[in-house]
Amino acid sequence: MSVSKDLVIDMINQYWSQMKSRNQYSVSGTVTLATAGQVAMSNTSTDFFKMGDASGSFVFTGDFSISASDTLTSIYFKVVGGYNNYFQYEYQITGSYSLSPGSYVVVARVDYVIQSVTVTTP
Amino acid sequence: MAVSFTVAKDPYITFLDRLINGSTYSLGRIYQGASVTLAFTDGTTAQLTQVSAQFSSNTLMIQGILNLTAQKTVQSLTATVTIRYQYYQYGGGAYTDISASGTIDGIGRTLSAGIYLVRLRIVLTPTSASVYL
Repeated sequence: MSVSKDLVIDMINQYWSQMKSRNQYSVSGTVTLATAGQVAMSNTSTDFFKMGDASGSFVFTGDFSISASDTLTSIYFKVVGGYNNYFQYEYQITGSYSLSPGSYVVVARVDYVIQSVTVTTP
Repeated sequence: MAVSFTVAKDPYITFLDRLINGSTYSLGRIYQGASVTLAFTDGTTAQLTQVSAQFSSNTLMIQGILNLTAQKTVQSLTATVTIRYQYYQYGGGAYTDISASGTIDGIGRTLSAGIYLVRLRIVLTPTSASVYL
């Protein structure tokens, strides 16, 4: 069976547009470094992009600085929004990457697709 | 530069979960409604009754009752979910309805006359994570 238009992606896209239009959300994020530990990111932001009828992507950005060489082991983003922080969601992305001293801008993108659609009757 | 990372903690679209199943929240309550229409190969259509929708983890589940009075072959299924986001603003409350619909084609299932419980299950998962530094 093929899906001509997906419900979930469409709802996320519409809802996110509503949230952004009212600026009813906030984003925070940290990176974890092997030596320095957790470092909060500045200038964090997020957005959702509808990539297709059954696929979409969350994108997060933020920046941080380190004064000594270190290894990046995880990136964590948290988004809260809506009236009285009605919803929240969070992503943690792990890996390992060596960094030299300096300032970095992080752009993290998570792609979603419809894995399956099943229609069942008894 | 792009760095290959993995998603260790899937967010499971928590906000959508709360949006759809939000009736348990006392603030910013959400009205939920859903409809499902089946189209048959003979050109007729039928709507499911007692339709409900739930989002849990990364799965959207819609179900309803189909009452068939004659044997039919299902050609497609169209589902629509409407959610009402209530919010507060100066001078009173307000709300926004968000409606999304989708169609599945080529089902081709023949059903005898009778009463059926039809479930539509949609699974959404993260497929990749990319990090750019």
